[in-house]
Amino acid sequence: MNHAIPPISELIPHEPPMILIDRILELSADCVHAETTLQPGALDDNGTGVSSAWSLEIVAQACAALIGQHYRDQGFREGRLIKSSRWTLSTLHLPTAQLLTIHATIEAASDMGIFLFNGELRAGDTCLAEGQLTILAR
Amino acid sequence: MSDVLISRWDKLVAAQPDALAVIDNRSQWTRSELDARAGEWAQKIPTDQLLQQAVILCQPNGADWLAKFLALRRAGAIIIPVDAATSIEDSKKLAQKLSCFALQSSEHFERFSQSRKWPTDLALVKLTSGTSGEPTAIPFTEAELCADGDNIQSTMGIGPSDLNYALLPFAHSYALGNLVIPLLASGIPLVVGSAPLPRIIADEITRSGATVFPSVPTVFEALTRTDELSLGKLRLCITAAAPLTPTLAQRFRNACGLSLHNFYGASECGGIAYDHTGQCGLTGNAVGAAMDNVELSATNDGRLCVRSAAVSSFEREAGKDGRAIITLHDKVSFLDNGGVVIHGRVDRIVKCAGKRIDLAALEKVAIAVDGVERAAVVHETASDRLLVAIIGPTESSTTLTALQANFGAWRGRLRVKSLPELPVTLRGKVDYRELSRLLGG
Repeated sequence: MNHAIPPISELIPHEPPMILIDRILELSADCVHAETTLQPGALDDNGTGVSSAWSLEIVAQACAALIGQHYRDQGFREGRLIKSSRWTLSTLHLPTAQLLTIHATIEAASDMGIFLFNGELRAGDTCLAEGQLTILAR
Repeated sequence: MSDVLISRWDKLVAAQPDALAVIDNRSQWTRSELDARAGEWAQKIPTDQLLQQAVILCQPNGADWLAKFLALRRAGAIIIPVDAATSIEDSKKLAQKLSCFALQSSEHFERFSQSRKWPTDLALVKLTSGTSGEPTAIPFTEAELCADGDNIQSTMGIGPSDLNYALLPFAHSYALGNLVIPLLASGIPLVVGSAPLPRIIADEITRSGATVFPSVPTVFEALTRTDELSLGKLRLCITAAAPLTPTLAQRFRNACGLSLHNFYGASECGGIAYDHTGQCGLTGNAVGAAMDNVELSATNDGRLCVRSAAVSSFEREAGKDGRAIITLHDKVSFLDNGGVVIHGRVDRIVKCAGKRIDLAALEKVAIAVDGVERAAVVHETASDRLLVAIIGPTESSTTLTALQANFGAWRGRLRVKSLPELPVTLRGKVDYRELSRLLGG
């Protein structure tokens, strides 16, 4: 079926190789669902996987895509991750060569451009990282 | 044009042309007769202009609804079914909003001056009930509609030897998945119910030999009030669209010996969960377990994610397994046995007295009060009050006390009123807008 999800590169300002999301599956006004597979050797992988701190950036990019798609008309062009709360990591390293799923929903949004997201990164049934992200969009 | 549904219907007609398709107003239609009727309708519409054009279908349940559906789909039209009770004026407004090509009503095929082409693979656009806002249009392909129908038949054990009793309006998502698609894709015949009156329903079910009855709690509630209820060969009663209370589940079983099987779905993705055992309604916790070929999960904030071939892939991308995923507004948890427990909706969390409160949590406490059978809450924004309606033989002051004890921060904002019944929409869901009016909001 025809669909209206633009490529991720049109929704966030990043350029490869710093675009960390492969594809977006769902992009509604209040939630985003995406997939990615980190390649061996990507980012800081030295054979043990990618540092789990990157989970923040991966989920934040999905959140940014949502803002880019649904809030662009309100004048928001770019965003900054200004806070993370209760960001819980269940692993030190994110696996490579394995499908990871990203999911984030908007908990609250203000006209001033402050977006509070609940986000998570999973590998199958295993939650690798989850918590709240606050993004300031301008 | 993707025409998996029409192809399946054509094969069914070719394989068994004389098999029963529809009983409508005591007339029996075989598959070939229904197909021929579709051919007659096709002569009356501009079939050469309908490819990828949206047509509103506003027609009462019956053989002609199905025949017009077939005629329109064969011409490549995208069908937007609406309630037969929708006025012509409202249908025209909708047609304008969605840039439709025409309105097909019982009497006329009325063409509009401005229309637009829709994407190639689309077959049908469902409209949500709009109980909490404007109805939303959700497009589907024939493959997605068939996937939902197949999941329903497989999960509920419904086959060609069954006969569906069709009281649900065909335009509703629930009826499309349980009645229309099973007929057109799998040959499961149906008998069209003539009126939503308990004695008539019971008589028609008995006389026709219907074996499956998908409906809503308010209809089953009315049936339990029928003296000496007899339902002939009926073997499966499915209830959806609104919560099933343990009281009703028990009362229905006592009245006719049949269990009510909970079914939980959403317009955006069709069937989600089903109670195989008929026990969930009696215990009142889970709504059932995941349907066949439907994968369920929850986000970290509790929202339900549904992945299946029946999820509308419009404005979504299918994953590597070819199935799309949708995140719904319902908040859920899962029992060890796979049972799905619903904890309200995220869009029912409101800000009252400067603090966030889930209206479903208030309803849960109200229902736990002795004598309260049902409860529904609305937030009146103008006065920032929480208006609680209760149904059942109890004093409203008892419920108010219980609510104030549990929700102290809002004690001054709570109002409780006892009503004879909750207002419901045509789809059997609580009509919150009407409820707000009744409660003085």
